[in-house]
Amino acid sequence: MTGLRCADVEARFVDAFDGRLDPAESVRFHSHLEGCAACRERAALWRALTPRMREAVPPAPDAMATRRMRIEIDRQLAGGAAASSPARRWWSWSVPAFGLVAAAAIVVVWLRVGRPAPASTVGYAAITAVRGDARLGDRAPGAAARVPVGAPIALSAGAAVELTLDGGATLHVEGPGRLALEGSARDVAIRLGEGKLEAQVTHRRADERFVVITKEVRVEVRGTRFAVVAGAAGSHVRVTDGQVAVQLADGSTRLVSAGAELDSTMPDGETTAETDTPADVGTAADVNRSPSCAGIARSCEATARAVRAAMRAGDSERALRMIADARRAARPGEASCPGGAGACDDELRYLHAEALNQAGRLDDAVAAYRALDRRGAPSAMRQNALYAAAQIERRQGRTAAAGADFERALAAAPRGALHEDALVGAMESAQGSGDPARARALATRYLREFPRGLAALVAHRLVGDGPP
Amino acid sequence: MNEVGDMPDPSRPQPPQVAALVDRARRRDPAAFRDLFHSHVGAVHRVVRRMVGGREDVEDLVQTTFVEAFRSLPDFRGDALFSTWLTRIAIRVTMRAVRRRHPGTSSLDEVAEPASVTPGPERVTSARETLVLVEGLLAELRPKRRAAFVLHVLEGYSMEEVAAILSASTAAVKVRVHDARRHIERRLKQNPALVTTLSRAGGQS
Repeated sequence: MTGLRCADVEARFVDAFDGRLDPAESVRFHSHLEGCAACRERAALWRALTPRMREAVPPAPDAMATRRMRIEIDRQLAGGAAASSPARRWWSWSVPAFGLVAAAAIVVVWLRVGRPAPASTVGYAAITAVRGDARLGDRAPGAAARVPVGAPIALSAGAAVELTLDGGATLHVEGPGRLALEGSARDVAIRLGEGKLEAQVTHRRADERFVVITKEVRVEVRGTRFAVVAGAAGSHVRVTDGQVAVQLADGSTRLVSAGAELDSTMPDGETTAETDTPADVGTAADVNRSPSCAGIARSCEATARAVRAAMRAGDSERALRMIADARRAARPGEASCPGGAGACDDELRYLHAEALNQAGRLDDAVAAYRALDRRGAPSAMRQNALYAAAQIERRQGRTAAAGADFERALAAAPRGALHEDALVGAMESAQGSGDPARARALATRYLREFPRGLAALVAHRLVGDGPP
Repeated sequence: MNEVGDMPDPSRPQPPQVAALVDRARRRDPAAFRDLFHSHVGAVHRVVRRMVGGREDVEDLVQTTFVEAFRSLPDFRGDALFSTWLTRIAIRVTMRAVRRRHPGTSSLDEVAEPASVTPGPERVTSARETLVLVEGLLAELRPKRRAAFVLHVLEGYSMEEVAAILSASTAAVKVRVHDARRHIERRLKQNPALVTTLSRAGGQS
């Protein structure tokens, strides 16, 4: 039997600790250790260290991070298919706008430097929901009405519309308001004359633009979630995630971090992150609402930021504790504020569901995701939440429940960013839960809506007509 | 049962379900892409994070890994496990990122070990801080040594598999792992409390 040198023995530490040495090698390994104090000492050290170092596992990416990565992979694989139409994508992962809220984003704001957007005659958006008195041109918009480029959209007080852009962005506009969409899917220019606009924008490629222009402000984003309010008192911009570079009329530039705001009515376009401006961007009138409501909103947003940070660090339990503390500390006046703490309140509830998911409390997470749907959160958020619930159910093997959630996700935002994925999920779930009739119906719908989609082959098989 | 926990054995045969997924993904089945991503994103993220630490671009590197992998899928012949092949791409991506971070570095092995970033043992009281400690130790290693150490010692790949992943000879990998161990041993000798801390953290988990 040939003996081993010290270097050979060390090279076999891992195999020995993992039980991968064959019997003959194991004998030689241990024989060497018996006769070599130095190797014996080192083997003992590394036998103790190796499992400890292996156990120091970095936190796995949370559900939001995973979705962000999926979206970005999708975009990169699409290889320049900016509009990401189903026919052009060569795989069909989703573009959930809400999932992108934490994407690294650069938002550039120019004050009083609005420039005309390029003209185009091709519409790139559709109105997916209408509330109250809304006009597209001189008519009331029908269901899924396409919005011609340059066509004015007018909203009365209390009215609201939701638009889905072909590039994956969603807009929620509240009246009283006036706006028009110019440019193209790759060069979006939204002129907001009046009203509150909340946008969730998928990450833009270097050669794509997404601009919102008001009388005072020009906001250009690469991918983020932000709100713009245009009113008689001026314009107000809030960025939830990413960084904002503000170019003022005098040419100077200010950087504003995520969570901070910019108000064109402040001296020199002053920006605030914590104290000086209302944290929740409401209508123009809301900007001047009572300080207590603004304080509640700021507190909610501070909590949301801290929760996101804890989740990024993988500390879901801390995130859950912070959310619970925030709820216990909810102030009595909160209910009387317009919309409570506004969008942030929904965001906190969504983060709660995400933290439960990350903590492995899957049933609780599913319940929390579904609760967002019941409470009437914004449609993109509801779709995202229900889609996440469906994915959990599917991983748990509860195919029928997954199918129901996929279908609810479909209904939440029929033209939302997760529409195709939810439809595929519903189709697969129906097939998996032994409901071939439903699977065929969904497959037929899929082929109608995405005739060249990536699940078209599967859908054709379900319909029974084979590959096209 | 091995002695060091529940690390997967990378030398095991390709699970049939993974082979089927890869086959479907080659035919551009979106569900297969989705399942491959979800079943491997954790492992890829772990390797990337161990290679680059808590950098802000970890997600970008993971994304790039999958993009390169899915684009190269037609070239994947199935000679290696899909996970091994993916790890090879992840290492290539992270090494590129490390090189970009050290512009002007002609030979990574000529770069001096960076100064210690390991926190003092008094601060190391939780699993999270243990992770910081381990990542600090890894960050002190030269990139090629770090890659060999991470893949062989932490991820459990055999020397031969690591050699294949790194496109290096087995002898070179053995030397890199040996050098990495020596560096860590030196650090632990300089501060023996680190060993105690690591042991205590392990016992707590």
